[in-house]
Amino acid sequence: MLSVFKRAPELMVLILLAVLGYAAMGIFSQVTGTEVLSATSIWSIVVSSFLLSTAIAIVAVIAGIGGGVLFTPVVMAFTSIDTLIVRATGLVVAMFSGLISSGPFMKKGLADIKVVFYCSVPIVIGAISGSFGAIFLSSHMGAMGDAVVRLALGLILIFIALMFILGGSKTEYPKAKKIDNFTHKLGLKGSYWEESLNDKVEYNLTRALPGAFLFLLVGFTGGFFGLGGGWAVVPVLNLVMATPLKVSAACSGVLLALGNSCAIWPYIMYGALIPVFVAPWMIGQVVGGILGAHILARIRAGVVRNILIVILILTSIKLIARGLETMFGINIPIF
Amino acid sequence: MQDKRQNQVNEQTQQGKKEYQEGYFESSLAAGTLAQAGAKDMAREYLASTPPLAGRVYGNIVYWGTVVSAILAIIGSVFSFVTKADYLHPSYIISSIWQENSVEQIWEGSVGHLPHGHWYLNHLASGSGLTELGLAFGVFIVIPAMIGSAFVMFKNKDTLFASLAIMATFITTISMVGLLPLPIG
Repeated sequence: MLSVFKRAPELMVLILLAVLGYAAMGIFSQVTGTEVLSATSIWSIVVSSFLLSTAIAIVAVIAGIGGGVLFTPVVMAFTSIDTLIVRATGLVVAMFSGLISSGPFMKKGLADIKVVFYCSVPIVIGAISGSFGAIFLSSHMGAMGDAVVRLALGLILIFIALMFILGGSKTEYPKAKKIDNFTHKLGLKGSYWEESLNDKVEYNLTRALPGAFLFLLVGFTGGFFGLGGGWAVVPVLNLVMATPLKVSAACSGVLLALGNSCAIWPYIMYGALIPVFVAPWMIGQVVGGILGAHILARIRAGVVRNILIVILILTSIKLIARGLETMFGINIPIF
Repeated sequence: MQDKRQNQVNEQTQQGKKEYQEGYFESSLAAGTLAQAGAKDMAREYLASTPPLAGRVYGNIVYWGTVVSAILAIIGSVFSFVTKADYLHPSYIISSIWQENSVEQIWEGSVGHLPHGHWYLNHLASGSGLTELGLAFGVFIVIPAMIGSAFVMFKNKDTLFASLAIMATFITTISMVGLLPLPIG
């Protein structure tokens, strides 16, 4: 852990600033209690949000998913906070861990800039379309339409998790059996130094065209639910386009930041991004994102895969439960 | 004498490998040091594995931009709590969110109307304005990062990926200036 601070002194500065800041907010607070919450409760909510966000960011970066996949369903499931605020905050959570981890990923060569820019256009277009589509569907089919899509997504995620489990170690460093002409012309290939193997890993991507189409869908579904889209970016890069798992996870973080940066502006301008509520979640994502990125480079890709499988299964259970709850008007008491 | 020399080479090699693995080396000097120490294969691997400049430019701009945005958000949050009359007072805002109020209700109860547009630019002296500026700056930083990276790619005659980066920048900029507002409310 100390080596992380040595290599990233800005992380130490940020943690110190955050600790001092939250202490100052507690000691010199001019915040008065309300009928609903005491002054101490208000401060506790802010500090707890920061700590929770840091933990979510570490898991999110290592697994190559957006923290929004963890944040949005949990907050929507266990609180009744306005969904627009949750969606806006969820996008910040999904975005900032990817944003801060972009630096270490690019510096270490884990994230491939060509892959990122190739996938960025469909994911950005998909994310915007998804946001508009969600509102359109909501106004025409209401909760039932939402339930059907969530149920379908949950089933798809279980399928992807099963592919990861059955695929075994082949998915860590996949080899493309045949590279199609389109991908070959794009020149989507690269290499990175795998620290845990102490060796260089070379890779050639394949199926770039179906990959782009899938990224359009991933962007659409991510924007549709306000979850980001990292949970599906890794499987598409890894299983469809034959990108090594670590590179997939790193590219996923960078792509999430790119896609969500486009989707988040309308929320800012509408006022759904409430600064005092969002800030601790954002700061936690930054601190946890740096920690996660440094840990990611040093752990074996298999560990990432196992974390990813668990998160995919948990997310799918949540999605299916929520879909069934809305469709049949029942209550399924799960996490 | 020969054993002593061999031990010295081994030590240098181990040191070179250790420094390489810890990521201290940033330039081809690292490869030179490794090669001199006898680890020629590793030196070749190192050079081959150096990440492209376009990626490092993108990563550096985004990384440091996000660090700055986090610092702004921390300072802004502290100001919100330690000043008596913030633009959006934390006790009212957090209590309203806790009471399950909608975005409209929160803003109307606080300042009387929904903000619309980049409201924080008019309230930079307040903690809320500064915090929102920090958040917005972190979201914005992707745009100069993509432009910087695309510039490097254009210089390297990598026009296809540079054009894709410019296209993504264009779409994000349209979203930022509000030409594609979310149809809410």
